[in-house]
Amino acid sequence: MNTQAILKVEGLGHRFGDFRVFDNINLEVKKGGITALIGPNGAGKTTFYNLVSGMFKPTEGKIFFKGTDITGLDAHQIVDLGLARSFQITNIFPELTVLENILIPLIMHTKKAFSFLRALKKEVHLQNKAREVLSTLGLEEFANKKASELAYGDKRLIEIGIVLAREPEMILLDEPTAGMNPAETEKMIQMINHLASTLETTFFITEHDMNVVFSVSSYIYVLHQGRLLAQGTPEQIRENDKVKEAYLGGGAHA
Amino acid sequence: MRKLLASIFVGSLFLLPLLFPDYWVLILVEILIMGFFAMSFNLLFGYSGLLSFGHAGLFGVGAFVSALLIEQGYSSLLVLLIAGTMGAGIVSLIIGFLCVQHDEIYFAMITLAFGMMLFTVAHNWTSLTGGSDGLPLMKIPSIHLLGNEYSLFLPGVLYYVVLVVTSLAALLLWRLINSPFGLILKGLRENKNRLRFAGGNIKLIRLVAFIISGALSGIAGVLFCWFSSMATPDFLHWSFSAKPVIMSILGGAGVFLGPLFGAAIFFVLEQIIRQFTDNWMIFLGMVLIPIVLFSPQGVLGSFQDILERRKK
Repeated sequence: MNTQAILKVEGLGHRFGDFRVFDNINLEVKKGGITALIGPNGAGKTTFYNLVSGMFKPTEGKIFFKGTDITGLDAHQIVDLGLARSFQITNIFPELTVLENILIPLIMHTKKAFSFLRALKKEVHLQNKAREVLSTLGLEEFANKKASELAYGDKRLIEIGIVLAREPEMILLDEPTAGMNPAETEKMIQMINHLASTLETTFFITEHDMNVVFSVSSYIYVLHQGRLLAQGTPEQIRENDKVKEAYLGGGAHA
Repeated sequence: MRKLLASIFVGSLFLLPLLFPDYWVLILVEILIMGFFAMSFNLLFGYSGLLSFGHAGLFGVGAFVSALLIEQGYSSLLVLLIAGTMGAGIVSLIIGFLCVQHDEIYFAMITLAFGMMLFTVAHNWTSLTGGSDGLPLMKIPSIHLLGNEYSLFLPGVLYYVVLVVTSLAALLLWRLINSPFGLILKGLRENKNRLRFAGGNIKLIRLVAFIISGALSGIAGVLFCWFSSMATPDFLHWSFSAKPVIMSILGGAGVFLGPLFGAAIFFVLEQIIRQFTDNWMIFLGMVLIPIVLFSPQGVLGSFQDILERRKK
């Protein structure tokens, strides 16, 4: 196996009843940088992420993370191995404070979930670490605010914070700019670029906005009607006739 | 500030029996026991978002363990408390495994089913539990202090023993909800899926919370056995399981002392209304409905909200 590949998917397929979402997907994500998975609506991108992250078990094929077979492991075990994700629809702890939103993954990360009698306030290391994550994201001033009270773009950043707090080796970002206005999108892209260049984390993102994809990613996979249509560098994908056809035929966002 | 308020609160509880006749001291005892039972239940309900409809089953296990041991001649309060807690904890572990597979209405239904099964065991295993008559205590345990023996039959003695036990257990509960584990429980309530994808083993977390809540309910059961001078299958009945639910909602499931406050409203209201009519449940309903409709945070919860708004 190629030691450069952090994620490797072999013959992955999935069916909901008789409906085949996709079959025989083979791909490898290299360590480091930003790789993208694109495709028209309904191509199966989110399902692909759900399988890789352990939301449910694939009906066919195998998934390897750092050479370990993670097919069929539950989501929390996959996170513990160092593969974390965000969601297309904002997925945070709305009634808790912004700081608590970050403390939860930190508690899981430091294996203190079953620490019963020690006051959380006295876990100075966790508190400092959580504030560090918030300052990376520019959310420090909202630390004691309820997460539900923040603006949409900031809620999306909280979710990135929840992922970062686990210090994963690989992050799956499912449509990180979904529903954002241009200013928020710009801020999010800068954030992702900044994180990818300062951390040693591998990013694997899906994105509907082609400008975003071509500007941030170094390698792109194209999913169409449940199959891998193409793969290559942004230049190769931009010139690929099959890709152009799929996007034009399928009511493209591009 | 918080510590000061808590000390004043507990301190004033120590003075209460001096101000009330025995009849009301016993009602205070019942409020403390049922209030603590509701607080244990609320670890699941208010903090973890899990509505158990079978908690009387676990409460009843504590009561019966205590009654059976007293019948066997054990009289150390500490032994009875520890045994009742462990008994309820072990039963929670056994049934909890199936209860925690799902949440929401499914969790409520499975806990209700186990509660009914525990009731039936207590009701029909006549040789052990005395059937529908239950186990009346032939000898009420007593406490030994400075060479003297004080029987729990005396309302004042019972009150102080119950107050000390429930205060210590509530302190434990307080530390628990302010620990890392406590925040994980709130995360479970807020968004179990996000917790799972932050690395949380959802079923294991639910199970641990269930066992702790069940074991603490066992402590309340032991105390209630001393208070009632008996253990009966009625303690395990599903209608008894509704009590902590009602008390938590009355007082406020989102506030630490909300369920205790709810228990106080429950019993004081009962005393007042029963002077006029036997149909007191109609009046309980008339209080409960507007609270759920207009003040879903409960009486103490709404009070806290008003205070916080004033601060701002």
